[in-house]
Amino acid sequence: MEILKTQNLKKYYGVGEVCVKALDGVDFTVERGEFVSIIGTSGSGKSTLLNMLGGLDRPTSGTVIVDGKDIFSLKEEALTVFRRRKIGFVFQSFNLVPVLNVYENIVLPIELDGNKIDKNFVDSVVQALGLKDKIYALPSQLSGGQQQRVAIARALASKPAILLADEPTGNLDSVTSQDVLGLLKVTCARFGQTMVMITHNEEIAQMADHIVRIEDGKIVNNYGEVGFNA
Amino acid sequence: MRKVKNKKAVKRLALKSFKANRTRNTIAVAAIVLTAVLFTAIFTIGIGIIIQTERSSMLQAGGDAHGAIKDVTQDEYDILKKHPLIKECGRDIVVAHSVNNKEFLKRHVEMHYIDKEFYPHWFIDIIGGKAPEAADEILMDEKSLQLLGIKPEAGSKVTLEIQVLQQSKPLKRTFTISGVIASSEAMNVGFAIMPQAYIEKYADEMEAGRKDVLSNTGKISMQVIFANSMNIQDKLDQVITESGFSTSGESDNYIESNANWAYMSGGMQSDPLTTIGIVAALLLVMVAGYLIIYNIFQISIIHDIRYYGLLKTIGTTGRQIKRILRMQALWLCFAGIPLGLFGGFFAGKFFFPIIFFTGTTGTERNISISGFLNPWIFIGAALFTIITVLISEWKPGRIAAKVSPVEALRYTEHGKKNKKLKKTTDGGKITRMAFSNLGRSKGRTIIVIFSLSLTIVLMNSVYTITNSINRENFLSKMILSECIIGNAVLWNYHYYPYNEKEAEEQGLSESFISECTKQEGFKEGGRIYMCENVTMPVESFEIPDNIERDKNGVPGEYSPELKEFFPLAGYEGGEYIARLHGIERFVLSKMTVTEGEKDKDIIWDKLQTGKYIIYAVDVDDDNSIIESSVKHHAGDKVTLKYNDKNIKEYEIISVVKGHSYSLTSRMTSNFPYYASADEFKKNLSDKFLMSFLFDVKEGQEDNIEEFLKNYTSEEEPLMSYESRKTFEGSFNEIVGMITIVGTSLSGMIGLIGILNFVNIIITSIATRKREFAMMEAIGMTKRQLAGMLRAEGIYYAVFSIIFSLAAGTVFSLLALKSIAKSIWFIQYKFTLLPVIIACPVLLAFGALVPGIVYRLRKKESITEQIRE
Repeated sequence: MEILKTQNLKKYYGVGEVCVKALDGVDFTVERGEFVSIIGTSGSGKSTLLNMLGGLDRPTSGTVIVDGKDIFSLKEEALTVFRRRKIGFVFQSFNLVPVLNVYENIVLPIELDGNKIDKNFVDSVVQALGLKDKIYALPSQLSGGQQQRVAIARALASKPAILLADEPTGNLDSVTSQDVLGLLKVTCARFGQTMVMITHNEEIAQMADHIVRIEDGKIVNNYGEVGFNA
Repeated sequence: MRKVKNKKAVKRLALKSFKANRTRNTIAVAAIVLTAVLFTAIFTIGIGIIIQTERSSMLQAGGDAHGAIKDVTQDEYDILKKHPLIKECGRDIVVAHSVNNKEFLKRHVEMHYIDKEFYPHWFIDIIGGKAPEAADEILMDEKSLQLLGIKPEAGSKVTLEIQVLQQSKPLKRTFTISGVIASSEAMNVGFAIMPQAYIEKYADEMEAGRKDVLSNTGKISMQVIFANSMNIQDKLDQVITESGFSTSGESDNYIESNANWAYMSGGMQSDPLTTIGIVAALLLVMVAGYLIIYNIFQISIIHDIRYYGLLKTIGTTGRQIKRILRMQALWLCFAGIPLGLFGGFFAGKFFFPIIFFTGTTGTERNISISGFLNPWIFIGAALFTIITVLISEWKPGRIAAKVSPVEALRYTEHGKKNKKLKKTTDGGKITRMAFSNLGRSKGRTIIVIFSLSLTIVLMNSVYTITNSINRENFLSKMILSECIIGNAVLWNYHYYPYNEKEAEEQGLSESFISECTKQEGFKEGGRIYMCENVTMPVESFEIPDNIERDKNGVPGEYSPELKEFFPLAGYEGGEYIARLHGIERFVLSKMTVTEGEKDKDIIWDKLQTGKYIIYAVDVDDDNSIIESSVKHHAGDKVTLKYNDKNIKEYEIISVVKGHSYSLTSRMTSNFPYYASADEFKKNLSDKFLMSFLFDVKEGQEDNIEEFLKNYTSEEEPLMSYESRKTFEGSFNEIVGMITIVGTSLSGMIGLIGILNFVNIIITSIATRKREFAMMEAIGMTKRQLAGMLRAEGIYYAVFSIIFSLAAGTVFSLLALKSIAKSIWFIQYKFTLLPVIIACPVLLAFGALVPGIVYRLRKKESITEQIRE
């Protein structure tokens, strides 16, 4: 079952001579429960693609369908609400709210939605990410790896349709990176979570079920793998 | 240290980063303008007060020359004037001992020759015509001519009866008026100014005068102006001795000199209250200015901390960074100060008359506000503004200079690592999050709350004071009846006649009284006669124990104003000077009896027997009896001696409260007594008519006021009056002044507070851009974000309100209460009404500003913001 689908997605910056085609007709789909990594060099358009998938930026043309909904048909406010219900984000720079403690950060999206917190679920996520004894700590009291684990927990806590990770280990050393990625993968698998991760690191990309390679705004498929339409 | 030519590089860096900080610069310049406006206004007012105080003393002293070298010959004058210390000098020669026209009996006219170039220094202001030239031409003041019944205009003829020497016979001389000069407002004297031709024509008279020790005629008084007004007497002595004369009285070539006392007494020292007020205002502005400018720099530096870290990495020293920031601060000053000086000067000029002339009546007001463009106003204000800016910039500059290049990259405002865990689970609620955000920079939050509260507390104080002013207290302290009329000298504290001749000059005219009684609005009135040529033999009065005594046990009275103890001493021949008043029935009805017979009718009957008198006790500003000065009680016997011979004994029938403005000559006396008018006239004379008190029929106050005003300016210009109406006017002016000055000051401080708040909100939104974008990414809607900011604004408001309530209460109870106690017409009433009124305003403000600022911010997509 498709959870994410893009159709002829284009993002152009500028016009005429100086027109930069950050995305130039991208079509791909992600099935429920899949772990997909998008790999590309810097400037290849991978971050732009992820931002489109998450509804953070609007495309020049084309559609993104998440869980059966064309997200760009939504108005600004509705899109934000849709995002907090259906999409979880993990950023390279953990982006935790400095004045909130770990627990509060994790449940923030749920609270923003005004929903009741599924305490058992949150607890199990916290447990799975090894944050049990850190729930009252402020972000400034945590290490980078711990902060990123909090960010992952926050992304998972609202049970999104899809989790988008943008270079989640970009700010971490290699040992911590392995830890965090391992946890990410295990946790996603355990909770049946679909995940799209972008990276420029081949090794990390290899951990995914599928790899999408992007170059100059277009998808290139070196490996001829099945499962998506390149 | 090696000298390096790095000035250029540093300057370029400063300029580049200066240009990049546009928002900060705008707010900083606005803050500096406000600060400069306030400083300039205060300096304008302060210097205006000094100038005016000096000028009014000079008007009384007769001129603004620094000093006078007295009684010199023309030869001596020519030698002295060559002295290098003298910047300017001129001759003043008295040309007649007196002018004897009978019209000048009450207001004397002095006849002078004054060097023409020196006219301005003598405040000789020709309002029509020109200076005299021929020997028969004359300049005279307007009022003197009016007294003579001559039209005050050039071309009129005037005949003066001139007595050249003290012993000589008066001569009649007729002159042509060449010009009319303004009459001195400060002195009750007229002037006739003669030309050079006159002293040449009557050189023999001048010569005769010079030889006559009893007359001033012909003697040259050398008016001297130095480069500045410091150590005038020393300079005068130096001029005299270095010119080959002596300052010693025994010496043959002794020359006397004296400094103009206007320069001795004027200025700030004489008025500590004004000094304190101005210093307090300067401090207040400095604090308010500091609060905002500090905040602006602090925020901007934290914001750019990575930039300073970068500068450090590439080798900029801390000292250079400090210099970069100081340069920027000074540029901001250059941008803001001129505008502030300009605005402040006009604000000051506007407020000066309101402050300075409030509560004064009549003549003083007419002093022209000239010479206001004093460079010290601008130098002082600019200097204070720059100091405030540099103080404000100092600490942020140190932070930027001390930043370590590595740390700068990680520097967030959480300078200190938070060790405490945050044991809550509901922090994600928008309001809780807003609350936590306030705590991110406690110092800044406190400054904003403090600067907002400062305004409110200030406003509350102004209101408390104006609200506490007691109208009835004020009016009854100033005047007991509706109107009081008398000779103008009474209001100059100059009514103290010792004989009938003096009484004629200083007394009230019967004609004025009869005109008053003819008025339709006149209801009832009574005369007060007063004379101090009455004594009390020392042996007849036993000093009671309650009289204040100094440390040697000498009885007397301590004057807090003069800081001196005045022993209760008998006058020369062992007699106390008593002050006897003669009153009519109406005056008695206005008195407050504190002791003895209370029934006014009985008192009146007894007074008329000529065996009884009333004694008045001194009261303080709160109208309560000063026990330590009570000298008699009802029933005491008082022995009075009239004209040094007739002795009469009286019994005190009642004791009343004294009233220096309405019941006596505005000055207190040790032994004030009141007899009936008839008894007074029988023993002294009806010439000692001091004043006439009267009441007015209801609704006629304006007509009477109009009549009194016209009569005293046209019919009998030597007479004057006071009425409840005039006091109501000055009462309203005082209230108005406090309100206007207080409100504008708190308004300005308020503006600074608001600017501070807006600045905080703008920068907090700008610096948290990335955080907000992330919040949006994880699903916080813009509305929720705006809500959070609004909650933050409301928290600021709520804390400001709480703080204002607390600080306002404490300040009111501690400071205002004691201030109110020291001002007699203020009866302290506690109020927090302005704080309460400010609540909704502050709340609305706190709720609206963040939303507006958030909406006005640059629109960028979330991704752009996150990337920053």
